[in-house]
Amino acid sequence: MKTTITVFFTSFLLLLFLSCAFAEVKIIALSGSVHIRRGIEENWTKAALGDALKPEDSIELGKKSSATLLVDGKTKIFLAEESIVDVSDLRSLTQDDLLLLLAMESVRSVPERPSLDEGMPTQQTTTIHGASRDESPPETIPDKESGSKTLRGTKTLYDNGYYATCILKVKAVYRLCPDLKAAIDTRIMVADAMEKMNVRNEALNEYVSLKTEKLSDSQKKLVEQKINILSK
Amino acid sequence: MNAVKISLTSIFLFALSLFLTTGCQKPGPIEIQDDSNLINMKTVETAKDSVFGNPGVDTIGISGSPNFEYYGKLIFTAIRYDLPAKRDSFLNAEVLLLDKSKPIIRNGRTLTYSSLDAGSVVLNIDTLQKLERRIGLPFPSKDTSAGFIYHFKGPYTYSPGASCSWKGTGAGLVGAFEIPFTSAAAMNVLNISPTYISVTEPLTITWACNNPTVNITISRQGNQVQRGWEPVMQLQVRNTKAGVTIPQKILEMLPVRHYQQFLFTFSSDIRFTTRVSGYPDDIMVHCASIHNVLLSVRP
Amino acid sequence: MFSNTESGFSQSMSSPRGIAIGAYTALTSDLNSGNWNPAGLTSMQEWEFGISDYLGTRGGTSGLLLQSLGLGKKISGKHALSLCYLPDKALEFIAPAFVSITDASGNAINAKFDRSIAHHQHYSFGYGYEISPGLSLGISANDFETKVSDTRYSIDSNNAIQTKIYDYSASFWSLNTGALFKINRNWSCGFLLKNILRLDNTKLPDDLQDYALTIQKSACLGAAYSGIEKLTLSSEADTRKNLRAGFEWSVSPSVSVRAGLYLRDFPDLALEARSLGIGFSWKPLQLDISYINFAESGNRNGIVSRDILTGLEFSDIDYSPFTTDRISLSATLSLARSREALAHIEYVEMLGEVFTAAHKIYAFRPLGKARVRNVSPKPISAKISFFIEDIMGSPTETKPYRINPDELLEIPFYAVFNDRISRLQSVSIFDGTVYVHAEVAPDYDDSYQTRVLVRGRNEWDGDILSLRYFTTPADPEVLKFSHNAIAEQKETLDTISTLRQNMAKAKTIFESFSGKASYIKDPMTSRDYVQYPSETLARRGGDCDDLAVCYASLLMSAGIPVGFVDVIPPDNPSDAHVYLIFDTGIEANNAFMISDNPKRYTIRKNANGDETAWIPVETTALRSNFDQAWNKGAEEFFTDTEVRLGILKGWMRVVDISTEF
Repeated sequence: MKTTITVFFTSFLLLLFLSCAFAEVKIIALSGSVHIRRGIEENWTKAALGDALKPEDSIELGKKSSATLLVDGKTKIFLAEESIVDVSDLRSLTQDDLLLLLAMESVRSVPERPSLDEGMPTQQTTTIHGASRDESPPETIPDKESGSKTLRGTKTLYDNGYYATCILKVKAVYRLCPDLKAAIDTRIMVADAMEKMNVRNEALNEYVSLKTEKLSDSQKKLVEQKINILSK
Repeated sequence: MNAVKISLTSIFLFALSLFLTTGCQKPGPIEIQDDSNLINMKTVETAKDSVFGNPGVDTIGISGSPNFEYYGKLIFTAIRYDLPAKRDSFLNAEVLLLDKSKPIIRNGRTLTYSSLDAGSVVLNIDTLQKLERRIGLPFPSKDTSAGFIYHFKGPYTYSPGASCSWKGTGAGLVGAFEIPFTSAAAMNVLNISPTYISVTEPLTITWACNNPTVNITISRQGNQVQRGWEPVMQLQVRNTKAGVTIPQKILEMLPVRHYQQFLFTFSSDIRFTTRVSGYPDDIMVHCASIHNVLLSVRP
Repeated sequence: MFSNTESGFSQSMSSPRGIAIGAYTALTSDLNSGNWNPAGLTSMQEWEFGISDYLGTRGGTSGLLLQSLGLGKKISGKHALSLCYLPDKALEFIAPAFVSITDASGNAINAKFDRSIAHHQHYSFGYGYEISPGLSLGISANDFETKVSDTRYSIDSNNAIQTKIYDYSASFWSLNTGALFKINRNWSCGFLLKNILRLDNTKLPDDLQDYALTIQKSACLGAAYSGIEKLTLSSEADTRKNLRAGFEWSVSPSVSVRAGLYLRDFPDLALEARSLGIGFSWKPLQLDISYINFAESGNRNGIVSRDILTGLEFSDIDYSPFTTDRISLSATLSLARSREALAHIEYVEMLGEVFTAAHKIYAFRPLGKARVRNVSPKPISAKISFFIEDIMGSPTETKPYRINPDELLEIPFYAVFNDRISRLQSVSIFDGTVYVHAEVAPDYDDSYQTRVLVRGRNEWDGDILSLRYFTTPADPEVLKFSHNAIAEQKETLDTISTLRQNMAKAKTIFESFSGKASYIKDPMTSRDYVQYPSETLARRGGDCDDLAVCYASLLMSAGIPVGFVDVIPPDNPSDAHVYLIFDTGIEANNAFMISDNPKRYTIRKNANGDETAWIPVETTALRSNFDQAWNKGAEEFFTDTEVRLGILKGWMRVVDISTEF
């Protein structure tokens, strides 16, 4: 009985996995400065026509550059200049997956903390004494360029209908580069992507949060309109 | 809750009252049914007039009785003795008709009466010897003729249950008489156990006798003046078991501290009263088969 | 007719319940047990007070007569004492003055009796001891007295008859001993040795020895069966060739009907008596009535011949050849505040085994569940306590749960183990007891024995959540190792900014660790067996679990928060793998400091709720340097989470190793 369940479950997961399997991605056109970063490597390497891209790879376009990817032998993805796109984002996710991933972002994967009337907090591990604890923050050079490019890459995702990955990627960028939240258009794009993914509550929340931002008139009008629609 | 409490309390009080009301009663005992055939026991007053006991013949408590219950007696006894030093058996007959009109008084006390002449008296075929009855009076000592007494002693040719008769020719006031009777069933003591008297043990006697009742007289040694035996008690026994067990309680009453021997007289008798013409009072006709046994007290 | 050795049963008549059932040796359970089977005293309530009477005829006296008055006390739950006063427990005989005695004057002497013999039992003391819930022993002592009153006659010097009564008495104690054994829920048996020892105080004179009470020794064995609902069957036999059988039927919880048969002369089995009875029970009060009817009237009419009486032996004064038909009544009251059980444990379910390494979790995570039913008519508040004698200092109690009348509730229970559990080297089975205690009573209402499996210290159930509990950051060996590693690189570390301290320390420790340990893919070290860090350090190696646990402990000892990454590939579950992820402490907006490639780290909330960058490390890459291990870990992590959506799909987990559970 146990074996049967294991086999069934494995097969099911396999099917699931296969359903998420990535399509083959190839560079079918490129111009200007186009680089590829393989997996977790630090360095970008120059891309060449016909390069096959793996899901863990990323593609970067410099100024006045362009590239076209062929996904799964049929879908063409046109990449804009000064953008970074992760190949892993070139896929559709279901609404449930999106909701789960959005929810997981706000949840730590630790066991439930016990309620106050139960539980015995044990002693914390002591820290090693002797290491200097320099309280002042170091001098850092934030890399906004990378973030901005990645954000522009999310437009590519949006334009090509990869709404879920677009939303998730924008949020990931905002975490790394909170300053980029100022780009209202991107946020409106995210809200719209949420609408398109039919995650209306999240879209509404997004529009509502936009209301407090400094919007242009057209943006304001759009936001209000959306709020009205989504509130019903 | 209150109702529960009240109910519980009342039940408990009931139980308590049960206890209190029953505390007074005691269960009755189980009666031990004794199958002893002893009917009654009677003490015998010491004969005050022992001086008037018939000389030579011991007939114990039959004649010489101070009670003067019957003024006239026709007595026929078959007597057997089983004493350690003496075994004897004989027949004994006695006739005495006291004249109530002629008391013999001394010192204001009626000692006896003069006895009448009854002519010739025959028991069955044996003629009784007619003797003058002489009374030795004390203070001052003087012999006085007090009439007649008839007496017979013969060999032990006793037939129990036989037809017997008394015949008298009569004399003077006393008319002739003929009184038939049946001789009493023979009394033959078979066994006594133990062969001594012990106040800690009952005395069991077995006998051969057909009489419905058996009388036992227990006597002690008489005083020096009147040798013989003084009856102490009389027991009447229902002859249902061809014997009797005399319980210790009875034996305890014997004056065993003072006397070392007691005579047990077992008697099977018949008695009835009759009248004889010319004699004003009832005459007791008594026939008895007597077996005497002497027992010593166990030290 | 009776023979000289005939005497009837070893029977007391103080309990109408006992009389009605007949075979009571295995069933006796109240104050009157002292007179039946003293082992039954242990079933008494705290205090018991009882009265019994009977309605009968004896010796010409009929009416209600007191049988016994008793008091019983339970001491410390295991000891029981009883004292019964039996004012009218007597067997009296009277020999009436059988011959008329007349004195010389013709006056009849009126003697009350020739002789009277009275046997009494005044008191009965009982003691019972409960060796275990199913086994009790008992002993009782009964005092007997015989009084003989003898009327004696004497003739005084005046030939007058004098009467005098002489009194004699004899007394002795007789001991009985018994045992009650509850074989199982349905069967119980009782054993009684009656009059096993006689201790004489005084004796009658030799000439009255015939009247002395010679009680018989006997042994009785009884069995009772209560497997049929509401019905209890009982039977017993004794060495006097007597046999009894009876039953008790609980018509309702407060009414019982009983009947019994008394047979003698086994194996011929002549009927001696039959009995009937009814009992009423209402909370602390018990009322019982019985009727016994003897088949042969024999000597039961109040008269006996001397020949029969002489040489008769009795086992008891109450039940003798002279006992008449009687109706017996008794009332027994429990004087103490009796406490009824309010809750009953119907079932206990253990939720799993106890892994020594994870024993602390059972302080908050249920070890099992008890199904508790409220058997009272009112709502109760019930708590469950759980206790294993060898590895817990005291029972662990839950919070109270409210249970409505007749409601069944599942209450989870917990366990706080003591240090002894940590010393278990291999799997052991322990007896655990679950108690329920309802309302405010200090005593347990019920208890349930259950088996608890406690795993050895190195055994692991394969759950990543449990793996955490093998980490020992406070272990002296671990502390020593990490301290030394950091101390060795102190100069270097001091040059590194605070922001990067965690990374630097993690690197230092890794490289120190990797130099001293190796990955051992030993078939013996299965996924079910995990080494503690001190063991890994001592052995200088282990499998992926051991190394992950060890490295995690080392990082934690340096104050670096760590998590386990558990991956069970759906296409190949046997390739399940564990590696680490640690908190750099660098906030998300500064994560670029770690690397330009955000795939090399992941942003997670730390314990403070701040989003920081966490770095995955493949701990099995011990031959590599830290960067390589990081590369490998990052690659695995990105592929599993972002590409294959492992966390989303549920075959991947990241579990923080918090020092709080």
